[in-house]
Amino acid sequence: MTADGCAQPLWRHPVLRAVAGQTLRPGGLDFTDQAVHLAHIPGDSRVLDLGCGTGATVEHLRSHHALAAVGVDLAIPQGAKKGLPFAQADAQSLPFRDASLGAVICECVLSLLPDQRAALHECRRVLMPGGRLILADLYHRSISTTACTATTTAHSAAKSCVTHALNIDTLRRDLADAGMRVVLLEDHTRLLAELAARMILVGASDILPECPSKRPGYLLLIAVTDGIPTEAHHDDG
Amino acid sequence: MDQAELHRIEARCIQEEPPRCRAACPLHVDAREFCTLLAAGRIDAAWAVLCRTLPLPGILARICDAPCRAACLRSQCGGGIDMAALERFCATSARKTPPLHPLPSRGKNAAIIGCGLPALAAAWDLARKGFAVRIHCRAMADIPASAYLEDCPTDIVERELERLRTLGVTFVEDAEPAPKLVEALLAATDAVFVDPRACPAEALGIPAPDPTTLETTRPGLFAAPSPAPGTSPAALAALGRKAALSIERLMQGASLTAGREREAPFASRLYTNISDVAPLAPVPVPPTGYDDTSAREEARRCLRCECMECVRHCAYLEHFKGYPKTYARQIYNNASIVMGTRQANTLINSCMLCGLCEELCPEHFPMVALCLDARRDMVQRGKMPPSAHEFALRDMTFANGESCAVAKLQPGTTTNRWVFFPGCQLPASAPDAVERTYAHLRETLPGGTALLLRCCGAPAHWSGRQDLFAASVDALRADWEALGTPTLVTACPTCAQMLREHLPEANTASLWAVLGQYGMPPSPAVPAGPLCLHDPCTTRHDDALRAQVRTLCAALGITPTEPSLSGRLTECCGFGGLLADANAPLAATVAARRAEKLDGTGLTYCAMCRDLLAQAGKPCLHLLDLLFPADDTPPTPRPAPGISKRRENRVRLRERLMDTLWREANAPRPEHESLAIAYTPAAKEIMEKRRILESDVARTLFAAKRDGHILARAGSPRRLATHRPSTVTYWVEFECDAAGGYVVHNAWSHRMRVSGVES
Amino acid sequence: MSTLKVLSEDFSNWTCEACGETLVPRPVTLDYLESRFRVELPACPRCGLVLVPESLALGKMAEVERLLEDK
Repeated sequence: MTADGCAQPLWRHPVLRAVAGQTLRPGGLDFTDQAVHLAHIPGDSRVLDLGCGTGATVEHLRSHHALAAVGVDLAIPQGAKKGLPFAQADAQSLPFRDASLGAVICECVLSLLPDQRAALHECRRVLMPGGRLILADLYHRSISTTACTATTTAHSAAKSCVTHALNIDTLRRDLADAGMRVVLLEDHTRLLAELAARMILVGASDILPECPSKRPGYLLLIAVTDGIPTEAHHDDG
Repeated sequence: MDQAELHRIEARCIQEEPPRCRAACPLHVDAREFCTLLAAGRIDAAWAVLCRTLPLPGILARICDAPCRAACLRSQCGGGIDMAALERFCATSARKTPPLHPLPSRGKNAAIIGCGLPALAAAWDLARKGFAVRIHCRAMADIPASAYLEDCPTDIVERELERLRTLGVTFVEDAEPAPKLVEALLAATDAVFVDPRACPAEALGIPAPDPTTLETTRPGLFAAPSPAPGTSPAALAALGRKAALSIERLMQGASLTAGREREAPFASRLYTNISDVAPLAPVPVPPTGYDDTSAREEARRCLRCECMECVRHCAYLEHFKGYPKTYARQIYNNASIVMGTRQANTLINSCMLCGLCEELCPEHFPMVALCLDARRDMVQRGKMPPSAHEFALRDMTFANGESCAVAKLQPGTTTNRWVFFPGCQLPASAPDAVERTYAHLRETLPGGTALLLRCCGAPAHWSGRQDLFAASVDALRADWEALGTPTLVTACPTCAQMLREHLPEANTASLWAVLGQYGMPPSPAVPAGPLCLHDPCTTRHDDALRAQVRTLCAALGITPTEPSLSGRLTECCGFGGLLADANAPLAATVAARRAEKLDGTGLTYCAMCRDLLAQAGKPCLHLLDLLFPADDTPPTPRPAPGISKRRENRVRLRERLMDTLWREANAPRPEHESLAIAYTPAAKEIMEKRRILESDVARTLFAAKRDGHILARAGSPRRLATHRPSTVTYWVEFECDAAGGYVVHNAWSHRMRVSGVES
Repeated sequence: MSTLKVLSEDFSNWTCEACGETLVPRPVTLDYLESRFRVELPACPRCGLVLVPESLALGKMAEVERLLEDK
């Protein structure tokens, strides 16, 4: 899920596979397990892994959590296991009926999407009432996000979650607008720091994009669909 | 600290307050940003600033009468910025107008009666927010007269009206603004705004509208009283904007009144120091208006008002590229997240806690308390990085240990009225001066003088270790009580401050006052050349102590100069708050900057200030160097002792005093001190930089030999010893000489613990 | 998690003085604060004494320490 015309994105980097394993995420599948337990996903419901990449998480959810998991990604996954339920689609138009899923898992993907608001509204659409949205992603721990955005667009490094960390205030607002209520928000920056530390140890810290604002943090957010989506509201800044 | 408390603290930092121009503008145009861009020749970007804020910018920028000019701070040094002329220049010279991005339709309708500036501005705002807007007027031909647009070129007016239509505004002509029309529209639409130029509220036969929201007693109807003659066009447009915002909130079911305190022009709390600003008159406006050159020149007169009083005078605040308000937010992460960690710990640990910023701040922003509380909180939650203050705390433990600490009555006495308490850094920096001072006090002070050598606890206090600090104060109190609660004679201003605040039951007197009162030393020596007095930052609120030092200087016949920031506004040398531990490069910058401000030879009365200024390359004397010189030659500034030398100085001082004064045997020295160790100059330099003590090296060599933790390299006489006494692993590269001693070439350390894995 | 290779130099000319053994690459753990990493470092095959060269201590290790402290 990269912007067009970018250099090699961080998640395609071979070094990342070496230090972060198959899922390419801070915390790996252990962290996914933790999130799934915390989310209390309604039993035997369908679960979507949005931006499923190679499908490792989908397979894990099916085998370890007995969840009817499916994957969606913009690109057909390379090296995925045969027979995993998968669809090629855009996050803004998911191939699911309204209120048909029990949970959507979105790990290190939202920050890469061009229109996060639209994606969240779409997640809300496909989730059944009481359905869970599980987000794990990078977020700005400082408020000066403007400096970061300006610089990254200026030299347009490979678009990655590191350069496009989420703004929590915006995220909260977007979730509320989409009709979702945040039930859990935790900081797990240590997992990100450990991933960065492994990069340093193998001598590949130079592939980490430099964000001029504070180093990003890593969060786990669980939201429940029980609100009413509202009209968009804007600020005339 | 809870969110409410944080917001109260944040609000005390006024850096983000808008400049006076923006606060005074009815539409709150950011004239500061506008001028900044214009001064840089960025006309299109400056125009974008106006377009961002002004409704119908093509019109309004040409007719604005700049109510901001009277509020402009420049009016106190030459004359306010001519914003009106600059706006006209910008409107006529800009090549690119930013496109309008109206929001998607909300399926809501608003009707506006009249076509004056309030009506057009309300229509502009509502249409951009996705409302369908209809303007009901007698005839569109009335617009120039109703909206004061006679001075505006016809084609410009037409172009802006066309943009309104593009936004989806419809003009309905032949409408009489009679109350009857109001009724009809109220029935047909979601909200109605009546432009007071077409029909003032008093003509509607209803009670006066609310001045903050323009809402009337009729739901959905918004109106305003007739504006006073000569009302600024910006104020008229602001009236329309106010109605549009109320209508939008009504449609959203949101509060109409919340958060509108600063919608009208207001007085900004921003403070800007203009004491150094030279007066500069406005650039005259030619009849044809400004051109590129004159507009840039006028825009350059903008002072770009901001506060930054504290940041300008503090290398620490400057270093992190923010200001107290942003630091408060970074320190107390205001994202309401269950934060497992605290970011910005380098920021928190780099404050010198010296209080200069609070002295300079018009609102006395509590930076010291903020950082100290955060450190205590980190310590309590086990989140303080171990490396942050470990070196200083180890040093404190050492100073309070049996090889350095002394609490003895004057030899041959049983009760003492006084106790000399030089602190722990003076014995580390100038042990001979301490010895000579104590000898003098024993001779001159009536009633006997005891000696107390230990640390006052400042490092524990600064590092947020409340438990350790309390224990340290308790131990100090116990020593003082055991000596019979004599008056504590302090030579270190930090000790004086700590005792005043944390041992208030004790009587204290500064050494400088005592010398003045009971007799000066017999043979002081005064250096040749000019001296510059540096007040330690811990004397900031101790006017008496600073006065005593000046009295003493006068008694010595010297009149030192003072740097620009002195007395209550003195600067920290970089030791305060244990900055050097948390952020060594910044501490060096701080010391160097302070050193630069001192003319000639520095003179101070804090051992750490003396040493750090000397380390920064400033010849610097301690007051005791003048009062108790080694011989009768004028004192010359000595270099700063290194970290190992400081410890050794303390140990030797105690040994000497115990030996000569109290005739007591000293404790046996630890085994590792029996090793014969020589250091190459390179090793010494490296160890100083890496903060590895000679005792760390000796302990490592001793333990490595004992435990067999030595590695050898084929073909090299040098070997490698390693030892982890507690939290740090040391590595020492050494050679053995013929006599069985060691020659140390290199040393390094790390904190990570390495342990083997069963493969 | 796999064992990370952090050194590229050859350390076969180093010996453990106590055991007389040549150092060989071995998996070891690095612990700091609450984090743990598995890396490969030269160690004595008999007593397990590990070599941490100066460049590693002052380079990668120091950087990781800072990173984990600062988070």
